[in-house]
Amino acid sequence: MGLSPPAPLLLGLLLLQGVVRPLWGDLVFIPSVIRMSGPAVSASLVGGTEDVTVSLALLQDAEGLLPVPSCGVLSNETGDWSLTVTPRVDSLEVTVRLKRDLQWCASNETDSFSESPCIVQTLLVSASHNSSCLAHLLIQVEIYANSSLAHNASENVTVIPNQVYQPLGPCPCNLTAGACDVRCCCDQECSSTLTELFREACFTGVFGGDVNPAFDRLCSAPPAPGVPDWSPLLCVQSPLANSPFLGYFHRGSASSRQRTSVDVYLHTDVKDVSDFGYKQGDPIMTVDKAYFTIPQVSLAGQCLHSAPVAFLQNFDVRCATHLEVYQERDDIVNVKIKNGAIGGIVTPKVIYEEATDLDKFITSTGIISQRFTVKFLSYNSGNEKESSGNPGYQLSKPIRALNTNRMNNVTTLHLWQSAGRGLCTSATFKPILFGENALSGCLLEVGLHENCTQLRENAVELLGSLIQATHVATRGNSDYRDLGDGWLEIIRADTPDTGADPSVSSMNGFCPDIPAQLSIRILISDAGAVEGITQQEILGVETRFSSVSWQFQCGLTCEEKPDLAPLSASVQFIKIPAQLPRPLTRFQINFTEYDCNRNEVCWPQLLYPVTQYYQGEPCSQCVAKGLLLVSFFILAVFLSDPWTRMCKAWS
Amino acid sequence: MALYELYSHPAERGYRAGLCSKAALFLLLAAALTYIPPLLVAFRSHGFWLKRSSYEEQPTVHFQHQVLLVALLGSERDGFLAWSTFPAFNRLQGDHLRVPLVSTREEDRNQDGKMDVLHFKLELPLQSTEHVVAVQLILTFSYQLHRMSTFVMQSMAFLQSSFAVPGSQLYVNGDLRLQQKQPLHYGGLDVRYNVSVINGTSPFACDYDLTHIIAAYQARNVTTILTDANPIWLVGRAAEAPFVINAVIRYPAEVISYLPGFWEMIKFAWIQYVSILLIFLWVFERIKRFVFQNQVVTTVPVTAMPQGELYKEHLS
Repeated sequence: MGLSPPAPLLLGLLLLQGVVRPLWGDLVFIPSVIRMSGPAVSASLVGGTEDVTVSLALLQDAEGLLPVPSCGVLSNETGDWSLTVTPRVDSLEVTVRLKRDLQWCASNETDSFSESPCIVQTLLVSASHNSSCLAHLLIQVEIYANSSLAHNASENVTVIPNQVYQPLGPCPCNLTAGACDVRCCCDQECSSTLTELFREACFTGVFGGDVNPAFDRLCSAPPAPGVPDWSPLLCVQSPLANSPFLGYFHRGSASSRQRTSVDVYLHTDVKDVSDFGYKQGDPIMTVDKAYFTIPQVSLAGQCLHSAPVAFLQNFDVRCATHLEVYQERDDIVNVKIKNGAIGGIVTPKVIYEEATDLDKFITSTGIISQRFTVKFLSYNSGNEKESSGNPGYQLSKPIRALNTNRMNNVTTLHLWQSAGRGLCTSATFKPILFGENALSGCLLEVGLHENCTQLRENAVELLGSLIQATHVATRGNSDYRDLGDGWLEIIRADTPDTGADPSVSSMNGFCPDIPAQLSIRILISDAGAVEGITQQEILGVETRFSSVSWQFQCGLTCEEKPDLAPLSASVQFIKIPAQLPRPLTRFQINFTEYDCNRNEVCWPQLLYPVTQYYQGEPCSQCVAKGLLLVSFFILAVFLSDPWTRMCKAWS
Repeated sequence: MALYELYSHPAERGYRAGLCSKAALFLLLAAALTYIPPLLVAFRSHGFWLKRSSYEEQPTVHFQHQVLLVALLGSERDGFLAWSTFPAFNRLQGDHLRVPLVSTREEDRNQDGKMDVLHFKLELPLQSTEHVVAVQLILTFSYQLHRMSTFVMQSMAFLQSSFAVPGSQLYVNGDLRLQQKQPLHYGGLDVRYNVSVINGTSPFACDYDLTHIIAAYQARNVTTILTDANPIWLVGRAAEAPFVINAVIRYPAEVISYLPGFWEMIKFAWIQYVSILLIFLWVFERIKRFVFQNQVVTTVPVTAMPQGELYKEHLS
């Protein structure tokens, strides 16, 4: 009929009139606008539904404008429409129904898909109290003459073919009734012109209509791979309609249930459990209910700036940030950290120190490297002795050493940690850690006209600076003040004497006997156990210098550039067994009958399932099953011929 | 008419002696030599006890929809972008968080109720100045085996790939293979690895350190690994186009090694034992017959009469 939908117009009008008030707990229809295409529709009226009357009015538009509704005259029947109100738990259900039959609508049209609607009307359902309107429901009715409305469902029954002879769905891709499904070549609702458009891209297989695929026993089917060679002998001559799959239904259970939910949350609430004290591993909170953060390294070495700190979890990280994206954290002085008691606050004390050498922190390319350390100290900590184990040495703890020549200076043995070009003059020291074999070195610059003696002195001094100690602790907790509390003297073997040998001097840049390698050998062994953990101790330390003959490397001409002499130092930990093993005889080496580590068929594994070598079942179960077998055997023995004969002979 | 022997049956002859006689001793010795040597022969020739066996199964794998992504940006001063399905992780990233579009689909090709392949697509929005040169991606799966022991674990596929030139798309096509460092059990419930690979609820940065995650994961005795040696980097990204990661991960059938149970070992051992026992039985039967027939040991021969026969045998 060419009407523009009146709903927006009317709503606008109602708003202007101020009739439609905002929802502040008042009555409201849910939904408030309905487009009706069937003979009945319902909505809910929620809000204060006491003492409310609901009425129905048919709106006639005159000159394109709908009249403003008034709630003075109430009616719940209007011509062809009836209104029923059903009270529910906390709302009212309002149903509007077409009283007239739609038969006359359908009989006028011959084509079931008509272009124009049969009924176009506008209904207004109003909820009012004491003649004042509280809520409105606008219903725009557009009912098309539909064959399903006109026919009753029980009259024409769709004939379902017998599954034994014909598959139920001859065309599974025909999903839309009454319309052409794209790419479905077996859909009868597609006209030939439409089918031509997508003929090359038809669905294949069972979904595309090939509901009778050729099974592999069919003679006319090509042989499937993996089928044995004799299969043509036993193939079945049959038309394709006689498929062995006839009568099978797809019950729809092959697809597995999606068990994991795909909820992805970008943000989560910060849980604050600090009011009743911190436990180890809890994040430290500030009074703003946020985490106290310190930059830490995570992922693949990237620095994360707002990473929370866990209680009693120390860390020491280095962050490298580009100066352009670097942001100074000025607010650290203002942060108030909760201290675990209710209302208790701790303010961080920030101490600034000026750095003198900026090159150590900022590289030439503009990357600043920062070091963040968090250490939890208890209130009475700080004066405990630093030890490398108690009582035995722990792995990766530094070796304790003493230098009695220098007022009992506490020291340790070192190796070089080169930096930059690797020159000995710029190398720092790294302490030797217990149990870790290490090898290190650096490069010593030698001038062309340097004296051999001087070179030797330099080398000895550099190598000697690594082992500036006279005694080494046997145990991890040996007292520094008491030399008798487990201290061993370091054995220095092959110490080169630095006395000048006048016969040897720089001869064309060749110097013999230059000490270039320091090897430290430390003997360790197990010395008992404390609470099941074996304790290790040092039995002896030996340092040895090895000499090389060194030659100044010239090319075609000897330049004035200093040559580099490599110096190296290594430490090796040698474990000595508590008792020296006796040397094995050849017979003992070859006799492996009882050694299951070297013999697959060793005698202790003869009854393998009942021994402890078998790990597949618990020992008790194996023994029980073994006894069951033994009982079968005994039963067999008692029922066997010689025994029964003997029994008979006795009785 | 010629006569043929159509039927014969053995007639038993018994030999009697005292229980403490030489005959009894001989019999005891023969029994020991019949039943014990086959066990020794079978054992010493290796393979008597089946200590390890294997079976084949298609595992039940489900993608758990947990993703952790780190994309390294080349030119922008060691910049990176990160995102994951863990909200605590996302909160740590600050400015480096970029939310991608992730679409996944698991497909059951052969309609056997078990998923066969995962199609994973991730589109990471980038500005025109940002270029991705390296990607680290973790996807987690639930991996289940049912045919022998019920083995349930949460595993991951870790993809790490980098390219010298900024890329526009990363294409990965591989299998999720099972790596076993020790055999599984033959029965029972095994859920020791049914813990999540990444602790998603922790707010601390050290729990999302990739070295810690990988170290804890590789310490397991049974893991899964994504086998694709060469992911393909495609180049040529348009200015405002996202960086796309396209992954096709298949779940193939696996050959799983397990420790056989007690009865399976006994069965295979019994087969070997009995087949050698037959030879010894035959040999010693012949020896015993020789010894008793020729009275090597003193016994009293007795013809055992079948019960019911009252007449003497007619021997023609």
